[in-house]
Amino acid sequence: MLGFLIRRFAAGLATLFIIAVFSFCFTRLAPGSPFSSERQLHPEIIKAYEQYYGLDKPLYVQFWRALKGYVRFDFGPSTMYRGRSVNEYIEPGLGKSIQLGFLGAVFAFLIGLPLGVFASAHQNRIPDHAAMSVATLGICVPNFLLGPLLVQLFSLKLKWLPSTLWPEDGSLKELSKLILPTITLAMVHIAYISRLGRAGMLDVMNKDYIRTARAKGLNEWTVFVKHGLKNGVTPVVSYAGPMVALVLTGSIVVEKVFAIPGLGQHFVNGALNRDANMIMGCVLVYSALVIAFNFVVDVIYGLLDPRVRVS
Amino acid sequence: MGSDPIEALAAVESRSPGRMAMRRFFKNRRAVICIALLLFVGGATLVVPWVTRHDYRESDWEYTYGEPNGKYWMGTDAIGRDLMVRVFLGGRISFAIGFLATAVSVIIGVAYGATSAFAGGRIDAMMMRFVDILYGMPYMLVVIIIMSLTESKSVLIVFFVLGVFSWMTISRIVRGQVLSLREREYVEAARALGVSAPAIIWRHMIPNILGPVIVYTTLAIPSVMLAESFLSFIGLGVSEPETSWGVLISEGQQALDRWWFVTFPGAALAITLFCLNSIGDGLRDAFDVQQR
Amino acid sequence: MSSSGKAAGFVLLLLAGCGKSDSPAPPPPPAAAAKLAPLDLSAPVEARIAEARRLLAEAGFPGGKGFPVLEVLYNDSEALKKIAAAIQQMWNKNLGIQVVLRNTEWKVYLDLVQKGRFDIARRAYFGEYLDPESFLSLFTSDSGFNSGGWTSEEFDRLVAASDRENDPAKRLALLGRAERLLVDEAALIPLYSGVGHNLMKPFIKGVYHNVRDMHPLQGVTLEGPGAPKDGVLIFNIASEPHSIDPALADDIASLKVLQHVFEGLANYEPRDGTPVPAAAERWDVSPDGLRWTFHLRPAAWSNGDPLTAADFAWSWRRAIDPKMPSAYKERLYVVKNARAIARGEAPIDSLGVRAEGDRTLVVDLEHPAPYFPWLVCLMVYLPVHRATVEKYGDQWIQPAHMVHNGAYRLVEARPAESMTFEANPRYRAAKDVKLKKFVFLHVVNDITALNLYETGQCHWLFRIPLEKMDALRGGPGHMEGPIHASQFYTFNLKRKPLDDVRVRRALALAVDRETIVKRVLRGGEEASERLTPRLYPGYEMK
Repeated sequence: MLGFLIRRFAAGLATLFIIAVFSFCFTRLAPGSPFSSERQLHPEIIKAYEQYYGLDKPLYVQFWRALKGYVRFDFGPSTMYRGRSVNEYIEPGLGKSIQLGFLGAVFAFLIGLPLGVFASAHQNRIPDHAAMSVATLGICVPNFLLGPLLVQLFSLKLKWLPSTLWPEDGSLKELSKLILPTITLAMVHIAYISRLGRAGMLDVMNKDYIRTARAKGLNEWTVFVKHGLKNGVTPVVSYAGPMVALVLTGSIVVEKVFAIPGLGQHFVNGALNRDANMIMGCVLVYSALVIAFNFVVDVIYGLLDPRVRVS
Repeated sequence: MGSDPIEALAAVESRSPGRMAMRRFFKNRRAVICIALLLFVGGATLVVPWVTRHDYRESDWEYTYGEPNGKYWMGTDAIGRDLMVRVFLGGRISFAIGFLATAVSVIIGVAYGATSAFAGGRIDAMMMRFVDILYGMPYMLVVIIIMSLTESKSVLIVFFVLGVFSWMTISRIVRGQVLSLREREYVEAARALGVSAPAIIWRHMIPNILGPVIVYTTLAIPSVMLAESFLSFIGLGVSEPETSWGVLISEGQQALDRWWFVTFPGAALAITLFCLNSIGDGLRDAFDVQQR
Repeated sequence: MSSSGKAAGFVLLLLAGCGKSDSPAPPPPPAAAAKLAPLDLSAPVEARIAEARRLLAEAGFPGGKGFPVLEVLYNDSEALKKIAAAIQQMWNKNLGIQVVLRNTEWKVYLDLVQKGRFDIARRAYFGEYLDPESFLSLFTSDSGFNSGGWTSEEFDRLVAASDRENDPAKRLALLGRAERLLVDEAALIPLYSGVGHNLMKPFIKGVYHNVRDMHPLQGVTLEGPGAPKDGVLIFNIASEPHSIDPALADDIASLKVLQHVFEGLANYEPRDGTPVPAAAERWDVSPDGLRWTFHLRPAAWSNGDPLTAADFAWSWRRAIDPKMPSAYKERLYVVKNARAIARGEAPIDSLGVRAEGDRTLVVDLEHPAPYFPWLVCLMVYLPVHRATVEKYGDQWIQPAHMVHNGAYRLVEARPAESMTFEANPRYRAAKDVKLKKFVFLHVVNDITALNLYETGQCHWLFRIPLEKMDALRGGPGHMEGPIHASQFYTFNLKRKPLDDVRVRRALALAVDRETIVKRVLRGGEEASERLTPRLYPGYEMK
């Protein structure tokens, strides 16, 4: 078990390092300078910039300095927001992105799982078709369309909910700002989770041990819940891993549409403005989150299923 | 039946795994309807731009932001271009990106996964470790970085980048299939009988791999199309005067009061994704039962 | 000559089959190069298209045959995309030539433009001082903006002469001739002059349209139905300021913040955007136009220290320091020796500014600049508190440490979200500050900002999404007016056949800018036949 954990952890670190190298190379070699502005900069000004940000040193020196910073969780100064460090943006942004992602994930499971199980219990009858069609629609309407539609309907036309920004405090009115972004973020995952749940349940309900349980005389409810549900939802659990990465990209859209200053926004702005430190910071934080989460999922799997540990 | 050997043979033939799966598939009404719908939409993207009298680049300056009417069935956009021809031309590009990117990822994935499984042992472990590492990378972020750093935004770059970053899942699936199939009884039997390795691959493995690959492909296409529309939304998609559903939808969501901007491309995309997903589901149901 | 007269003359020339003729042009300057007929971009469309076709044929591309496919570069934006697509079509239809469009993100666009890696590029400029020279100086041979390679000795000569000319009328005449030359040689394709759109809730009073689109908030009040009970104005400045250190800032959002937190020698008058005395109570300029003397009012920093002329001198030297990574320090180059100092060729102390006593600031310029008061409103000219900067270094801009002299202090800054400001009780005119508290939002997406406005979470926008222009224009809360900005396309003369002036003139003539302005933009922009906006009384391009 320990060997398994160590291997997984090492793989995670290796991935992070490769990502750092890759992002670093791309950001340094990209077309477009972070300092260009409408009027061409005179060479003396460009020189001042490069000295200030340490960009006049050779690449490997820059990378080494950056690495030393990352180990201390310091991502360096931002070129977009002069005089401010990338950390000042990533720290609050990260908090928001995590909260939003968490809410979205929880909401997706809370709605998606029951939906899928429900559909599987009425397989091929109307409730099943209805539930699955709704779920599939969740996959078919892109979240950058769903978000504005929800805003149009619930915020502007019906005036039920506020449309954007982040809650100022914990009051109910402020917290209601989170409703539309959460739904937008969760919708596509509700769809996937319900489909996976349905498929998993159907799979399991046809297995031999279920038939045995029925033959033993247990009522359908017990069979369904006690024996079926436990195993039927494993595909849903395994979706949790890739879902984290998807929620992260989904949040880029949601943050843009709802003006939430989360990590996704900073990443996209950084990419568009060639703010190398911002890009690196966001990419590393994101990747670390995804890797960490996958690691946890792997550990859980390893605990549950010994076969996985030796593979 | 019994006495006629040819008939007997025919009866045996029709029970081959692929044929049985197909039979099961075609019994799925939803999937069949979706095939028809998809062909309709796909056909429209081919035919409509060909037969229409409006050019997708030409502006009617008297009728910008125009509502749908007799002359412009889907209205006009902000510079007076006919939206119907743009929706269907955009469809061509969306389909092209979806299919081509998926094709790239499938080709790479199948080759990689099969090779890894056949190589076995340490090479296999190393190759899969590499896939694990790639899996850990937030794929969209990398795509965004690459797209924002390339200077030209041609359709080719988009589908290449998307394709190159989606092959990992299919490689895992293929590898898993090949590994499990190697152990199957009938393969061992074939080997015992002296059937050559290529023949084993061709007649026994490929048909069985094909199932999951087809299912995956059909389900990957919609996710690639969505990825392309996501890139368009953040401004990294196809550039003017070409267009795609993603570009049209992201333009349209900025002007929801002009409902025709977003409704037609949105409906087209939704229908296409719905159909592809249903077909993929149907295929999976059809092949899956057979796997057991 | 009236424009219809010009048009008539033009058509006559056309009919008479004359080619290049120098008859309606003003008397040619000495040692002129090839003389060109004035390029009349305000003639009726059909006449312009006919002339364009003729020029193209004369250049060797009749009907567009053989004309290479050029690329039009623009940065990401819905409006720009539509304009470029429209122009693409117009050239195709009117001249039979093909161009491809290329859009890139802002930084890539700037990089390509500045390195001269484009064929035709969309450009725009917001002039910082209300004078034609602010635009015309973009096209001198040594201007960083002029990466297309168009040069003209005559143009440079005229602009430099205007710098030395003290008589205002003669000066404008020189500039007018320079601009005529610029347009006739088709160094650019003029498109339109900018229009500012502000959307404000009806309870906001004391805001007026001005051509700088700068609105100091001190005199603003919130009264009437719907006014927020907490008296806080919420204004979306549409992006995160790049920096709140005056020496490092280089964007409009930063200017909006800094003009409230710091006070420079002059500031913008709310009604017409002209510079009026602020920290300085008056100024004089020497007869040769090279020495400006500013007389400061008694005032104090937010920590009680007196504000002195030495503060200004120190702050300007800090900004011009070659080690200071500031794009904006170029605005200081009008001060004597500034450019040399920035290049590291002169000691910092040689900057042409010095304090004479506590209340007098003497500035020496490189050349006369009647628009200097406009410049001193800008970020790099704002004073910073020396002791604070020296004590805290980079961290001096944190709200807890910052010492400032403006009407407001920055209470809270949430990165990429919002900034909150409160009136500064130590401000020299604190009792005149009517608006006590306001918030700046940094919402970039126009549609999202509009949603916020419509749900009352924001009270003031200064940009409206193109798609909503029709619905909002003229509606409640909408304030519109011309601003000192110009939009145009430039050519890269190193790319054949753009080095042929006939080709450039043809391309400029074949653009139907009236249609673009009326049908695509719909925001009341004015189609322009020249580079500078029509905002200078007494100035004519001829």
